[in-house]
Amino acid sequence: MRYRAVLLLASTVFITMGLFAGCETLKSSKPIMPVKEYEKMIVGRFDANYIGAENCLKSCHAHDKIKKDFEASTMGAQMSSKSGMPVVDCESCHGPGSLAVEGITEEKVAEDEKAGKHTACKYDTLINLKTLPSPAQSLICLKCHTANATFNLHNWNTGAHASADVSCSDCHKIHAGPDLIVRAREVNVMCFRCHEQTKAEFTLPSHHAVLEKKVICTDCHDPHGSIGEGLLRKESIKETCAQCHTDKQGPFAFEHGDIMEECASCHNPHGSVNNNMLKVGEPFLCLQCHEGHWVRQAGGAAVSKEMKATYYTMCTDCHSTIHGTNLPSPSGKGRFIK
Amino acid sequence: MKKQIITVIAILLLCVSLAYADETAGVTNTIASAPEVAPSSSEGGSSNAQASPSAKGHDDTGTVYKFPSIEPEYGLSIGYSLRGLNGDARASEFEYLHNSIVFSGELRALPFPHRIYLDYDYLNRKDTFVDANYAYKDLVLFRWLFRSLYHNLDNTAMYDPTPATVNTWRPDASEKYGIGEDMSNWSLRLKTPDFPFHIILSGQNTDKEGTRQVRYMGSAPLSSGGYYGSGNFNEVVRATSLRDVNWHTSIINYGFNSHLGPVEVEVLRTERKFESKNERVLNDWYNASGGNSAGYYDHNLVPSFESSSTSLKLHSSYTGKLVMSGTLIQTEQKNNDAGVKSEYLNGSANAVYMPYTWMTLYVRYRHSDYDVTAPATILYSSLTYALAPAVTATNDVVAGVLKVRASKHLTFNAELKSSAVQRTNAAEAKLPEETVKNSAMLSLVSRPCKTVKVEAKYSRLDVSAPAYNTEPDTANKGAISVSWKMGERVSALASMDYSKDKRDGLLFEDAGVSFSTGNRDSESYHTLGILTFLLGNRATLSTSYSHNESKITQTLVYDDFSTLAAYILDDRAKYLNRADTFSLDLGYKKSRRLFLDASASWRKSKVNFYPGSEYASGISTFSDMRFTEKIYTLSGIYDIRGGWNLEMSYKFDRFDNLIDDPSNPNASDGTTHIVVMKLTKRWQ
Repeated sequence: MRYRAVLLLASTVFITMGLFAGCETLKSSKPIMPVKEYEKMIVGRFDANYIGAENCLKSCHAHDKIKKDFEASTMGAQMSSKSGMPVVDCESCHGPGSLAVEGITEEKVAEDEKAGKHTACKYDTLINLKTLPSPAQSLICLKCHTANATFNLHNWNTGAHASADVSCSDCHKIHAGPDLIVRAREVNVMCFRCHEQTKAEFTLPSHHAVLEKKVICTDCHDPHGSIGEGLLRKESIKETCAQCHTDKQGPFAFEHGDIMEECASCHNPHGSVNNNMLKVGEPFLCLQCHEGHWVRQAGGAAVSKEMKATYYTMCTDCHSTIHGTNLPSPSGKGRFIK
Repeated sequence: MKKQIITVIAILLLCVSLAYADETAGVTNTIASAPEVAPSSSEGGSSNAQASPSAKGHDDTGTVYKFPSIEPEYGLSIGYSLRGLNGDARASEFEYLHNSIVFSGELRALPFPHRIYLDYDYLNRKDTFVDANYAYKDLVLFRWLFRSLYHNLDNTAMYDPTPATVNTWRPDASEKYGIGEDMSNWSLRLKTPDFPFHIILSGQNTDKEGTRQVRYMGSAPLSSGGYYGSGNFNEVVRATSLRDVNWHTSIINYGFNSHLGPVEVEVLRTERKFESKNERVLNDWYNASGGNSAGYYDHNLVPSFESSSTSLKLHSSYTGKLVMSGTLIQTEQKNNDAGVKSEYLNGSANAVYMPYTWMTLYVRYRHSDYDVTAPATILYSSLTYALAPAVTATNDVVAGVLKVRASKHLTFNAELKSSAVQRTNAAEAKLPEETVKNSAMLSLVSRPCKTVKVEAKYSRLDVSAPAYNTEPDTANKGAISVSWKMGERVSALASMDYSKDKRDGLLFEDAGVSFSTGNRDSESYHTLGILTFLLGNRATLSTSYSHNESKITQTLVYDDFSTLAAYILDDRAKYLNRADTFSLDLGYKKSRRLFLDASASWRKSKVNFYPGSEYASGISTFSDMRFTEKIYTLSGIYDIRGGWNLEMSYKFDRFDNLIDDPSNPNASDGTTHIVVMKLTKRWQ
């Protein structure tokens, strides 16, 4: 209850502050400025003019398909000048294009085509996106996506991808088609381009069905950043796993210490040699922390093979509610038998 | 679920036809935009030198924007899938092994300002994929992603060296188990025109239906009448039985986000429910034991759970020298059957400071607080049992990362992290009241030349008062990866990582008394090598090899009924996990119309446990595992003409359990064959 009150109070304070600041502040504020040094890299040539996408491609149609795909995308549809939002077209990312198309006319293009030549624009006057350092590449996108409440980038800047110099364009191929996001069944292929070792874990005998494309990397991970470790989608390992494995969520009347708060204590969610993606097979898994059942009888001899089979095949043969239970064992304690 | 799929597809098709009808009725969908500007390089200077380049979009002339006309693209496929199984369905664990018609469809329709995408794939009645998207300008964004899969599950045999005993009871020995899972994710985002304020609605439903094996301590019927088995040491019976599963999880999220002056804010509420719709609890006869009289008792209850959380997120602009974000999440969870409640508070604050282009400092702070409210007693089969106070904890983590670009070809990262877990009621669970972990990590990324990239990392972890025996006192881990593009036709990747953990003073408990003894050494080792060749202009060959290995040497403790000692120490018991995988993939574009692909992979894995104590000898035979798996695939796509193509694929999967059960040598061995043939027509 006290947490709810804290959260409610914090929400009220921040929302009230924001309301006073108001959207007028946003509209009358200075344009968003990229971090210094990177500014020049993403603004483009100061001696060039903006000419509009139609004029970029007026004479030359080599990029007609790219333009059409872009206009078909989410960004292309956001085209209202009344919104105060940037109009997004070629020059928004590539810089002012007047120098690039200087001297290019329809007649020249036709003449070159007759001669079997391709008319190239002066593309070296545009921003060379491929050679930009990754923070600058990301800034091309962030300078607009910082203004439109893009909350999936909430933890981007401190996330593992940003700190590993992964930029937006490493995953979002803007000109590959009208889809600016990777289609669901291609996500895994994209992630495995860098995470090859993780792909190898999915080939182990017990694994989530990622290689089979039934489960997607983004079911558990948020590539844009998160507050959980390992870019997990939720705030903790248990909350991430409980999205699908809710039967293990808890809380239970009898808990397994506090080890249930971290599923990865016992399981490797990518894959494992052992059943149920256990890092270590039973019974050794349990013997690491718990005393095993008796191996020597009252008379001093070792117990029978039958007794060893009973107690040392899989502990969960008897302790089957190992993730937690509401029911006491015959001793009255939580031994996870019932 | 079929009804849902049909309903969504029908709605999307209706949207398409309405949108196109709208267009043909002469209504033009237009919005204002910047007017066309003729190229004028002679003017010199840029009017936007200091402004965002996109500021040119501001326009008061009211010039309308005309959306382009883009023809819809769609495709339909129909075919058949033949599936054969011989033996255990562990081979092809996630395939529903029944013949079926296959059907798929794709649609991309752009009657602006509407945008509609649909991708539908039906492999069989347990394996379906749907990805449906609808957008109206930037005001409405809807997505529905649906996946179903079938998971073939094991029917685990109980090893019984003397079949005539009653210590095992397996009425389900001949059952074939499997569960179908349907996962449905949907999201709807509504935006106010001309201002970034969004209402967010989203949800997830997961349904699991089928049968699975339950293993438990039960009782077995005696031929002379009555039962043997008390659920306790005096009459131990390991039992397995079939359980009907019909589990449902539903999650709904709702909230809003927007700009509030210099910050953006999002408030989101999440509610989650889980319930088992049938066979929530099993019930069996147990003979008398301890304080329990003979009778029928419930066991293996699947409780119903509810949880709700509220999150608040704030962040500053993503650009700029200093970027900050903060998150606060408060969660409550409830076990409806036991009346147990838990509360979590998770908070985080992050900042990135980039004073220069060659240096970046990241700071992250996390706080989590976990509290449990439980009744002091519970009632079970007319008896009252006391509940031990639950372990609750707070965890604080602070991490700082410094990134330095020493040169264009070399970048260093250094990270320091410290976390402290403080527990209450720890003594009852034999856990330390506080565990502190400090770690340091150093990594470098180097491109000594254009075609070579080297990444190396070293980390060190120190733990004070580790909570569990599996937590080390110290851990060291090193990793290195080299990728090399050798000319235009060959690329290679080699990586390896090695980690070593050490722990002294393991904690065990015997007859209610805790004691510290022995030590634990753990090593793990992973290597990966990949080579890719471009063979001519039409073929690629890719080969890979990976090796995963973990070794643990640890002191174990076993109970002892002899009069000589209370427990037996097993010094230096060993455990080994090992897997090797080799794969080969060849892709060949025979002609403009024909593309072929063939792949093969071989995998060998094993698990061994080697106890050291003479009294524990023979234990390992009950848990050793050795598997091999071979998978071969062959596929081809032939482009007929006029948008038609024919696709065929074949997959062979052979899974072998090399440690055979003497009573059934082929147990867990299986072979599957899957053939899929599809004819596709595309319209563009």
